[in-house]
Amino acid sequence: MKLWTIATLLLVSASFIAARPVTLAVGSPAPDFSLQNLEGKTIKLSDFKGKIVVLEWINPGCPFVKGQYGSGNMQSIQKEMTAKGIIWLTINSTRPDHPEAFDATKSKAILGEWKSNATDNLMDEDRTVGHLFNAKTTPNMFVIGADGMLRYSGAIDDDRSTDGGKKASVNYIRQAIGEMMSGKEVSVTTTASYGCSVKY
Amino acid sequence: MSSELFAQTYKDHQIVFASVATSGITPGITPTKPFTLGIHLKIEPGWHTYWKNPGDAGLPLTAEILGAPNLLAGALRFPTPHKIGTTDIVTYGYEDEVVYSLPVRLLSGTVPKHFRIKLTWLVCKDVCLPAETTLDFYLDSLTSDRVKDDQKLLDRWTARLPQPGAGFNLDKAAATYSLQKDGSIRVFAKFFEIVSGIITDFYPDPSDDFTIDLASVKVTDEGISMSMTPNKPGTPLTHLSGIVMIGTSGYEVDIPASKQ
Repeated sequence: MKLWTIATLLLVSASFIAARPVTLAVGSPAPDFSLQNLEGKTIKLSDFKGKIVVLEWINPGCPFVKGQYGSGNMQSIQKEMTAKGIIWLTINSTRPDHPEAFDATKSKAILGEWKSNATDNLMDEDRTVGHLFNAKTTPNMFVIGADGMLRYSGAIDDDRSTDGGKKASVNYIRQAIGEMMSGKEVSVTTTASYGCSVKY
Repeated sequence: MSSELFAQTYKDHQIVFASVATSGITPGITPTKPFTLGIHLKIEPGWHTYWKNPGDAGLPLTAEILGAPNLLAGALRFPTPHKIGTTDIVTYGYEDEVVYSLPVRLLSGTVPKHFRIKLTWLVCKDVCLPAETTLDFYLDSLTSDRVKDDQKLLDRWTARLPQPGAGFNLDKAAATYSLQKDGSIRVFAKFFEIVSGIITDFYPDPSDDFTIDLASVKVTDEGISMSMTPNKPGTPLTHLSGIVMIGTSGYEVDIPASKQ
């Protein structure tokens, strides 16, 4: 309870922090947030207390995101993880006047067409949560442990192309969650994410 | 289908025009030294392509020779880029025009009359667009006028490749780092034999082992400082490589690093 209280304070204070976001360190508590999903329902990170949560920053217009969904890589790992009881949330922090900004209806249509297996898809039109996590690219991945602590931050894999992970030798999300579920320490906790810049 | 030229378009506008220039080859003469293929991109204002370390977002250009097993391509050379973007998301790249240099060695025989160069790149403005194309190269297209024009172009862009740091005494340097409470490290590189205040910036090389907070790179009179996080906790930093910027010129450095 104390953790979420601190996290809520962090969320409230985030709007008063000076221009440059501070990189959220792995091992620190993930700040709570509250966003609307594509159906307009309010979803909070704290709704999933006690569960592993994956956050995926998304922009359906970005070629790296299209690559991951075009290859089926993203849907495949979403399906694999949600089948294990893991919560997978996509967050779209694209500013509303950007050419790649899609409203909830359009986003739902695209994600439906892509057969996304995410638990839920959240809109962050005022970009608060993107800045809170200092998300830099789409995709940019964060894994939060069942204890509410950030366990991984960075790229989805080591492919570093728009080919959707076809040449990847490791998927960092699968690796981190596999280690967490086996009671091990996460071996690679941070990587440089790659993709399009988040359209703040 | 391929051709000697390629135009990338967005909403019916040409945003990148790609072609190949050469230096060091002439029809009928077998080159005795490595020659250069210049990948020439003319970029519509407002758009940009990327350096080998694109920064927080983006993707570098790739080039591969096809259909010529007797040609061995070396590592693609990237001209000194400039910093592009916002305070929070730092990227390094090129606007308006760039020539990437691909050194090529002839392993046997003669330069084929025809070969192809496969290119991929990403160009961004408010949106990002990937490109993939294969350009044809015909040896017979090297008229004497083209040879002269290509040489001029490549000379201009070779001058913009990062220079060895030793030329500016930038090799006389050492970096130390200290572990921070959040698992990151704070790195400080000191240069021993340079005039104080001449360094304007530092663009780090891409790293497989550390995630560098590019927005944290700061230049002081004594050197440069930055924060980075080891991808595997506890990984020691052994060296810091990249280009030291002095104005718009880049100087390659590879500085030994040790824990404070």
